Amino acid sequence: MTDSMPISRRTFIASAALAAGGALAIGLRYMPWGRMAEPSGSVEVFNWIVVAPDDTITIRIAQMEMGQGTMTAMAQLLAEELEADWSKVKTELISIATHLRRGRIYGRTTTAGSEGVSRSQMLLRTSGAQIRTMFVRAAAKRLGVNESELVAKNSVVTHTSTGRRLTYGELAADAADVPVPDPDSVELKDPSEWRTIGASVDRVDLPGKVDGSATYGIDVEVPGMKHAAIAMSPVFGGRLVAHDAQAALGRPGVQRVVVLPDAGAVAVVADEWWQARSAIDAMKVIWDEGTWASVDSAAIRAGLMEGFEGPPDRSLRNDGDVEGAIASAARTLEADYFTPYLEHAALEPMNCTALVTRRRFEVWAPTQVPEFAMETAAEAAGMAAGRGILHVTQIGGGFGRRQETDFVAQAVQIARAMRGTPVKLLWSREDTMQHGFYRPASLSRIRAALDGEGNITAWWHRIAAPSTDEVRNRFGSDSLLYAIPNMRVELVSRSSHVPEGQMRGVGFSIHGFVTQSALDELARAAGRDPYELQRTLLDPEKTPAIVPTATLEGQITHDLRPRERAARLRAVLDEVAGKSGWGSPLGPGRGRGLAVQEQADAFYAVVVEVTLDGKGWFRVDRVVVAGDPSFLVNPRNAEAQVEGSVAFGLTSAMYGEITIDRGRVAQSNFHDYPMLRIREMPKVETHWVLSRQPGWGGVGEPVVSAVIPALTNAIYDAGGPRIRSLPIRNHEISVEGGRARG
Amino acid sequence: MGDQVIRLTLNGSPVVVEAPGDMPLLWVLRDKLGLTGTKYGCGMGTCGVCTVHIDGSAAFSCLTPVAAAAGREVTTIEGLSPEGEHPLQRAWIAEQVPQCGYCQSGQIMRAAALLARNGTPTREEIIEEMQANLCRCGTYLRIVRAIERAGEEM
Repeated sequence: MTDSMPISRRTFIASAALAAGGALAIGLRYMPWGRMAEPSGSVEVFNWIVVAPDDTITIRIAQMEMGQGTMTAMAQLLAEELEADWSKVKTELISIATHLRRGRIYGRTTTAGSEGVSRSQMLLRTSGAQIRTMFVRAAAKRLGVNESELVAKNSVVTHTSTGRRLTYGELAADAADVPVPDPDSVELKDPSEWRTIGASVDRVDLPGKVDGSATYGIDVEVPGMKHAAIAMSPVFGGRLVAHDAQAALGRPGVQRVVVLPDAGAVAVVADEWWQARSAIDAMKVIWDEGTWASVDSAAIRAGLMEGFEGPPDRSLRNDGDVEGAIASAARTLEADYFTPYLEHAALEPMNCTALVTRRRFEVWAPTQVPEFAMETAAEAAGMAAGRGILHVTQIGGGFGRRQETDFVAQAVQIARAMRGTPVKLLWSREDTMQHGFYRPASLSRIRAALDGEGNITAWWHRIAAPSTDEVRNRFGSDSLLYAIPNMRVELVSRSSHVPEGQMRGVGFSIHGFVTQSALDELARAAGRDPYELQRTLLDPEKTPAIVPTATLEGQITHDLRPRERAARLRAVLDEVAGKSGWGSPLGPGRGRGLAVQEQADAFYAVVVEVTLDGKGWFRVDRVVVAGDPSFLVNPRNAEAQVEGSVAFGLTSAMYGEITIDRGRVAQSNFHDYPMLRIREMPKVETHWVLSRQPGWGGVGEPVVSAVIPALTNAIYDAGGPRIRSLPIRNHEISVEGGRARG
Repeated sequence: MGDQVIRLTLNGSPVVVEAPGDMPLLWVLRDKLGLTGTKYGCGMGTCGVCTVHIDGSAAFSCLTPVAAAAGREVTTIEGLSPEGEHPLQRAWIAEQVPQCGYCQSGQIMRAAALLARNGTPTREEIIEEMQANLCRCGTYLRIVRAIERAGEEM
């Protein structure tokens, strides 16, 4: 099952009628501010593709590109069933306005959760098959033969007995007139017949990314455009009390000073951004910092510690009799684990360009959530969404930060004050670092029991999180597939004034560290090998019959049974153990660490190798990854996602930490929020164990969460400290070649 | 603080700009001259996405006052190769380096300055040079491979 099911013909006609054209919009497409013909005889066939007379096929993409390669993968999925000649495939983002006008025909546009492929694949493959069928039917009519005598391949329909052939370009106009076949009537290819899916074709978006021509949000240029810089209340929730507008207005190029409607920010609009930024800096601004100005990280952590006392807010899992098992245990262990707030640190600072006229609005934004951005913009413009156009640009890093639309609202509010003049709002790095939506901090206490043979008999996990969102405070904690008879997971959640949001890895990046660290500690305490312990606990025959999944209530998921999940996780565990040479001797000062991760129908295991030099420095030598996302659309790009996940996870493990001081974020830029650099990047080896079963998983996130505990376990294995709080640089150990510890 | 008239050579052509002398070269390139391939990331020389060449050497354009570029040769990603066919650009495609791509103009410019003075850098020399540039997507392994590939080709 997927969220985006293929639409039936009836649905299609109904939504097409709503879309303003009535029948198929042949040869027409919606353009900003109106409707224009495709150039030079190009024809749109069933919403998804535009075919040019030279057989070039442009495939429309409904997932936003932020470097994960989704434009390429989405196109591969549709092109496979379309039988398109890949060498003549181009891509373009869908028009969000058309999508909304036509009844959300393109399925899910929100781009998050490593779910682009898994949630879109059925819709795209089915749509491709529907369009292929339309070409074949058009050819059958043109040639006066039966459909069954025709074969479609490489964008050509061939009459097998006579060799007569018609290209998709020649057939496009006729194909667009063929009634769209019912999605249930088209047959999808067996995976063994795939040629485009599973091929490591070049990414379609890379040429513009090596010559400077790709247009990110920050690069948008609209005629007559002005530039805005902004000052926001340093303490979250503070309000503007006074500002010296004259100091800004007297400066070169400055056009206007705009106080935003909620008084949480003030903007300066100027001819150039440097002028606007300099004017903001020159302007004296006084804030009412509100009641949060006395809060700091120590107070937040102390509040979380209180969460270990008293009853939980919510029981997430309660198998067996945890208290009884602990009472009768041969040994018990208890440990607390802490993970800090994190900022996404996308290298493109937040920005958005907007134009608001009397009747319409137009927005250019790097966003992961185009439909939400459109709603936000409409509200800020004071108009219905139907009056707006949204252009999604290239995105200079998303990582979840661009699932929020705060910067879109601001840009439209400023443009509304500048009615008729397009305005590009650009945040500074400091604005971006200090006004984020942070991966929340979290505190966990694990109590566990061992019997006399070193078996884990009880697992009690109490979470205390300054977060009320279960994707962030729960995911990864209660879905453990381990054969532990007595397991309790419970949550105390407290809201905080620090804005929180989704970040690559979400809750798994917290609870992966907690659970995989605790398991490693239990293995050591029991005198067992961590791999052997994991393998024993992931016995499909002994996995509990019911194990929660990391899904939200009401969310449709693949219905994998716990024993299948355990079997797949154990398979990647075995693979990573084999490929990493687990158990083979390492030299002095060297160590290995292991972690596994299940996330949204994807299964990963990671082994990290480190060297300690005995003087307080360590080096990550090698990261071995085994993964089972069931299918791969583009293996080379999937490997890039694994490499990127390793870098992202290592940054969080070694460096990442946002702290709160006097109610505000203490860090401001990359000098005090360091990230992994090229010298610290280890060798990454990726191995796939593809189960090729229904239930497609993702590749962009799970390794982020697994590499963190694999690293800290490796440091311990090498003779280093047991790391129970992140980042590692706060401990008496630092990364070789890295920056000085903070 | 009035504007100064500053003459420099940009991507091989003479250019005259009027700007405050302390305006960073980055913003002159982006907002006055329309060359947006050079990016803004941190404004303090810690990320390298603004890297350009000044007289052939890699420089942070965010930290370079435009007055300091007067009379000098500035090269941006747009001017690295007329057709985008510099060996590094071809190698970047061959190795499928970019993810989001935002840092890659700066990465390529720094690598180009390295190869211009040392056509056969060792892996250690590559890492030493490229340490200045951040990539949040984590494309580092492919960056090293692409520089090695381009070095062999040159």
